[in-house]
Amino acid sequence: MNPTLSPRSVAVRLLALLCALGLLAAACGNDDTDDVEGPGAELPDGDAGGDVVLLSHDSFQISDDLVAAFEESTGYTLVLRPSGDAVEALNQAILTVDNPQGDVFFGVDDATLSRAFSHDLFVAYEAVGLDRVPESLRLDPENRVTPIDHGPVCVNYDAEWFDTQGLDVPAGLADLADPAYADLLVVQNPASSSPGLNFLMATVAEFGDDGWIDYWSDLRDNGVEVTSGWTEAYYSWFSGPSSDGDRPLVVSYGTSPPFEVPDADDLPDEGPTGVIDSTCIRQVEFAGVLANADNPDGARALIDFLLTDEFQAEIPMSMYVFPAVDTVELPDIFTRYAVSPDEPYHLDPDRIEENREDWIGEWTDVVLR
Amino acid sequence: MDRRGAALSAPATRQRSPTPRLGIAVSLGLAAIPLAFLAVFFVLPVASIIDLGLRPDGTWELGVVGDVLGDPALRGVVWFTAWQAVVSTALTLAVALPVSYALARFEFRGRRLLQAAIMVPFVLPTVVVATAFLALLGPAGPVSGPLGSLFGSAPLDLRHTLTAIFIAHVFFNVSVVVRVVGGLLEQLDPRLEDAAASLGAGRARTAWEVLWPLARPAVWSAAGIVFLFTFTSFGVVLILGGPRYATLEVEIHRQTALLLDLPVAGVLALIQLVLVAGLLAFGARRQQSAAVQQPLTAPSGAARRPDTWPERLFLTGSLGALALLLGAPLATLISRSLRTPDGWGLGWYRMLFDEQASVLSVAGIEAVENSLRFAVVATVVAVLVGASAAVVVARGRGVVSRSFDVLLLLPLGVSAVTVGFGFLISLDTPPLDLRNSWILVPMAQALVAVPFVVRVILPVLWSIDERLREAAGVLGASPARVWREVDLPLVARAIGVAAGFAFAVSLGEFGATVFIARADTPTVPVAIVRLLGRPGPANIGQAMALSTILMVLTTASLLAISRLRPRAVPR
Amino acid sequence: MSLRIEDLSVAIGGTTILDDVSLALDDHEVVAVLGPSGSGKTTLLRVIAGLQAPSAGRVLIDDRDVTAVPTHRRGVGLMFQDHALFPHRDVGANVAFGLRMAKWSRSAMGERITEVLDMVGLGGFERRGVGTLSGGERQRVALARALAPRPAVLLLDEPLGSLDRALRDRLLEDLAEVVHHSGATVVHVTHDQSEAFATGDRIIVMRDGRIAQVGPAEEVWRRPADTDVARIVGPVVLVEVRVDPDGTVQAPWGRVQASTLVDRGGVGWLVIRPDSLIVTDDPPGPDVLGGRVRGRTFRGDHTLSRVVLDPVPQSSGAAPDGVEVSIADRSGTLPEPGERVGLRFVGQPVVVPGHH
Repeated sequence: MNPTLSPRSVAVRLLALLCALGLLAAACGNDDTDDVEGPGAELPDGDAGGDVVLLSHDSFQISDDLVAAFEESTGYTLVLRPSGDAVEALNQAILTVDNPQGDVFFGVDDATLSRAFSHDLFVAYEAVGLDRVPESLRLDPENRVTPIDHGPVCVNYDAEWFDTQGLDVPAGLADLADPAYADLLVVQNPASSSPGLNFLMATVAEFGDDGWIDYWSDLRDNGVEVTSGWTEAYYSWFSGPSSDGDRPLVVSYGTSPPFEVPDADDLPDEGPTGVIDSTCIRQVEFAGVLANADNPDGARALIDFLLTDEFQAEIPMSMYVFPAVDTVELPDIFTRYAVSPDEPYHLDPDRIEENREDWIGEWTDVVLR
Repeated sequence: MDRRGAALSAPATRQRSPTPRLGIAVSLGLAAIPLAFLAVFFVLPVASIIDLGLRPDGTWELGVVGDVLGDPALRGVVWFTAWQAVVSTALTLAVALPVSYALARFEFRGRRLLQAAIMVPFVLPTVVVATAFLALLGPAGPVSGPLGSLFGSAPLDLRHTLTAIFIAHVFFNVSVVVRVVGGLLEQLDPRLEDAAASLGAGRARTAWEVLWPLARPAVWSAAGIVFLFTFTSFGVVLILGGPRYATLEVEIHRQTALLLDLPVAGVLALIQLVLVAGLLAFGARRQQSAAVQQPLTAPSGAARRPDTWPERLFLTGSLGALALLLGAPLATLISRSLRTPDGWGLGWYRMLFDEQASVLSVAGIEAVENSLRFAVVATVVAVLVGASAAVVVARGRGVVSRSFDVLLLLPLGVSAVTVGFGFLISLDTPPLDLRNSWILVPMAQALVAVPFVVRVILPVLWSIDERLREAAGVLGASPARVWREVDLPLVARAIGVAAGFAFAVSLGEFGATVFIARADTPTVPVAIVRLLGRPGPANIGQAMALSTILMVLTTASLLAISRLRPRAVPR
Repeated sequence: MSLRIEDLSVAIGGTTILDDVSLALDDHEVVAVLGPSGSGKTTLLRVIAGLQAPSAGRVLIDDRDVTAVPTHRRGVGLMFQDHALFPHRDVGANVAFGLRMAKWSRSAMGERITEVLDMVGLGGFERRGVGTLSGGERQRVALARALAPRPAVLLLDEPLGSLDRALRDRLLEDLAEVVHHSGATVVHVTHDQSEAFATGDRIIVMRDGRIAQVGPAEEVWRRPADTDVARIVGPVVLVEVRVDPDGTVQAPWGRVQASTLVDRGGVGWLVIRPDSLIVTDDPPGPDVLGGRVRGRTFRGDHTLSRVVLDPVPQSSGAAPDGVEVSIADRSGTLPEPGERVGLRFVGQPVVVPGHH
C-alpha cells in the first residue's frame, strides 16, 4: 500500500489487464448502470427514464407486481440494492455521499435521522401524498425525508407461558425490574442492534437522564439477558411458539405478534404472543432523495410511489410494519394482533444524535461490565 | 522447487535448466492473473477504506493510532482476540488430532461419508450454526440439561459463555485439522510404523515417536489456519459469546458498519492485518523449517480395521465425540426444518417454492438457483486465479514466493466488512464502476475461495517429480507443452478438488455478499439471514429448510471431491 | 553424430560441480562415465541434455554449438536414474511421447512403438499401466521411451541403478546390445565398473568434477592413472612401493618387475587386481612370491582367496607386516586356507602415484 499511489490511478491501469483476461467481460463492456444483467436477472430496459436505484437495508421488500406497476406508470426501471441491516446500509450511504450508489435511500429512522442530516445525505422534496401522512410522523419540516412506515419497538410476551405460570403480564417498564419477573427478559445490545438502541431510548424517555441508569442497574440485578442482535434474542432466548428459548419477555416490534399466529384462516381471540403497549417507542422509517443522485427525477417519482395506496397497502405483510398513510386498510390479522400505541415513547432526533454514544457507553458500563 | 523430489535426488540434480520452465511472457501472464485479481478486489478496496480512515483530508492523521493503542478497552479487545484464538486452537487440536489419526489409520464403514460431512460446518453461515448451538446449549437443550443434572445442579446454561465460543470454534475448525493432518497421515508410509512396531514400540508409542515428528509440519500448518480463523472470528463471538466478548473482527465491524468511525476502524484493520500477515509469514517459515522429507504412499494404503479392544475403544471414543460435536447441531437444524405447526413434514420446503409466502423479493428456492449460478462463476474465477497463483508460487523461490503465498492467504485475515465497504468506495468510478454489476458477488466469493484453491493445488505441484518434466523436455516437449502434457494431467485431480472446495466456500460466503447481493438475486446464506431477521414460524422454518438444503449441497459437492482425491493431499 | 564437450565447468552456489571437463565422442561411439557419487557425472549428463546450464564451456553436437539450445530442441535422449515414467500414461503412451513431440505419423508411430518394445523384450505391453510394472520392466520401458525417437545422442543415467543384482546382470547384456545397435552416440553414466565395461568402448573415469582418466576398459583396469582411479575402477590392493633412482621397484617382499608412472626415486603404489596374480608351482624366487592362504570365498564362477605374502626382512631390520592380496582363481587350483602358495604376476604390474 503505497501512500503516494492513488488507488484510482492503480485501478485504471489494472482495468485494461482485467479486461484482457476476460474475467470481467460483462463489467468492462459497459460501465453505466444499464449493465445489470445478472445470472438470474433480466430487468426490462427502461425507456426515456432510465434506472432508479433504491438503496435500503435488507428488510425492504416490494413485490414484483408493484415493481412492474411503478415501471409501467413512470417509465423508469427500478433497481433494488439492499445492503446489510439498517445502520450498515445508512453508513454505506453516508460513506458514498459524494458519489452515491443510487438515487433514493430507504431506512433512516428516528435514531439515525440526525446523523443522516449532518452528512447532508438528502435533498428536500415534498412528496405527492405527504398530506395523507399523520403530522406526528412527519419529523422533518424541511421534507428532506419522507415517512414511509412506522413499527414501534416494544416488549413482546409469550402469552402461553404467563398463562401456565399464572403470572400477570408486566404492565410497563418499571415492572420489568420487579423481582417477580426475574430472569425473564431478553434485550439487545444497543451498540449492535437497532431495536436494542430503541429500547434503551424508551427507558431514557421514561426515566429521564437521571433515572435510566439506575433502572438498568436494577434490570441487570434482575437477570436481564443481552444478545448482540434481534435474531438470537427472538429465536434463541424468547420462549414464543417459533422460538427455542426459555424467556417469555423479549424486545421486539409491535408488529411481531401477527406472524406468530399459526393459522391465518382461523384467528383466535388472543395470539400466542402479545405486546406490552406501554413499553413501546416509536420508530418511523423514512426515505429520501440522495444528494448527488444520478437520476433525481426518477428518485422523486419513486418517493411519490412509496406513498401510493398500492405500496402502502403492501407494507404490513411484506415489511411487517405499519404504513405511514393511516387511511390504508390493514389486513385483518394486523388489526387484531399488531399494536400501534397511541402514545409511544419518543425522543427528539437531535437529542438522540447528541447523546447516543454516551448513552451506549454508560449503558455498557452498567449492564455489561 | 520440488520438496519431495529434493529428498530423493542428489543436490546437483536440483538445479535449474538453462531454459526457463515457461517463457518469461507466460510467467508474467500467469502472475498477472492473481495479482490483478487481488489488486482490484482486495488491495484496492482495503487500501481505499484504510486510506479514507487515516487520511481523510489528504494528510495522514496518525494520532488516532496512538489513541487506539492507548485505549485500554481496545487493547483488551486485541488481547482477548489473541488469547481466545490460542485456546481455541489448542482445544481444536486436542479434539481433532485423535480424530485425524482414527480417520487416517482405521478402516470402517462410513469413513468416506464422515470425511465429507466433517466439512459441512466449515461452509454453513455462522448465524445458522449459532442458532443451533444456542438451542443445544440452553438449559432446555439436550446437552447442558443432562450435564447439569449430572452434577446435581440446575441445568447448565452455556449460552453467552466462553465455553460456548470454544465449543463452536472447535466445531467449525475440526475439519481443517482433519483435512490437513489426516491427509498427511494417510499418505505416510505405513512401513515406518511397522518398523517401529518391530523394534518393540506399541501403537501409542509409535504414534508419539514416529508419527508425531513426521506430522509436525502438517500440525503446524493446520494450527496456523485454525488460529487464523479463530483470530478473525466474528459471528461465533458475537452471537454465542454475547455482548461481553469482542474480537478485533467484531470491533472492526462495529466501528465500520455501525459507528462509521473509519479512523479507528482503519487502525484496527491495520493492526489485524499486521498481526495476521506476521503470523502467516512466521507460519510459512516454521512449516519449511519443520518439514521432514519423507516418501509418501498412495492414500488409504495405511488404513486397516481396528483389531484390539483398546483400538476399538479409541476409535469409538474419538469418533463418538466427533459425532456428538458435529451431529448434534446439524441434527438440530434438520429437525427444526421438518417441524411444522401440523407436525413433522416438508411444509417449510414447499413454502420455499411459493413466492407469496416469502419475505424475500423472490421465492426462497430461487436463492438456491442464484447461489448455484454465482458459485459456478466464483469457482471458475477462483480456480483460474488460484491455479495460476499456485503455479507462480511453486515455480518461485525464497522470499518472493513466500510473500506471494502470504498475500494469497491474506484475504482470510481481513474483515468482510472492510472488504465490502471497500468495494463500495473504490469500485464506483468508471472505468471500474462495478456497483451495479452482478459480477461483484462471485468476485467477493472467489476472494474467499482463492486461498483454499492455492492450498490444495500447491502441494501437488510441489510433489510432481521434476524429472518427469525433464524427461518430457528431453523427449522434445517445449516448456509450454511440458506444462500441458505433464503438470496439467497430474494436477487435474487437485484442480477438481480445489474447484469443489471453492464451490462449497462460495455457497457459504456471507460476510461480503450481504453488502453487494442485489435484492432480486439473494444467495442462500443472505436469504437465510434475511428470513431470520423476521418473526414467526414461517420465517425460521424456511430459514432452516434453506440451511438444510445448503448442507446437502455442501456434502454432495464434498463427496464428489472425495472421489477425486489428489495424489498429494493438502498440507 | 559426434558429441564434443569443451572446457565445461559448472559451479552452483560456490561449489564446483564440474571443473574444466573436455571430451570428444565420435559418431556411434559408446562411452561409459564411471565415478563415485558426487563426482559430477550426472551433472555432466544434465549439461549435455540442456537441463543444466554450464558456468563456462560449450557443448557441440555434430560440430554445432548447442550450449544455448533448449533441451527440447537438442534431439538427445535421456534415460533417468529412476526412470521418470509418466504415471498418468500407459506403456505405449510413454513410449509414444517423444514420437508425438516429433510429429510422427500415426502409423509410423505404431510401428516404431512395437519395434522398440520388442527390442527391449516387452512386446505386447502397450496398454499396461506403468504402475503395474516390475522394476526391470520399468527400466525397459524407460529405455524404449528414450530410444523410440531415434535420438542422435543417447544419455543413460545409472540406468540399472535401482535393480537387484541378478536382474542387473541379465539386463546389462540386453542394454549393451540394444545400445550398440541403436546407432546413437551414447554416454552411459554409472558407478558400477561392470556396467561401464559392458557398454563402454571407452571408459571415462570422473573424480571431484574432473576427468581423471579416459581409455579403453582394459587400460583403466590395468593402468589406472593413480590410486583413486584404481579404486574407482574396481577391487584392488594397493601396496606402497619405492621406486629406486635406477628404476627398480622395491615392494615389501622385495623387488618387483613393474612399469612405473612414478618418478624415479619416489614412492608409488603397486596396483594388484584380483586377476593380477596366478598360482604357480614354481619355487619362490625373484618372480614368484611366497605366501600363505588366509581364507577364501566361493563366488560361483570363481573363488576369491586372500593370501598373505611373506615379508622379506629389510635392511633397516624392521619386519613389515605381511601384505594381504586377493586372488580370483577360476581353475580351482588354490590350496586350502593355512597352506603355502606361490604366486606370479600376469604381465607387468604398474606403479601409480597416489595416497592411501
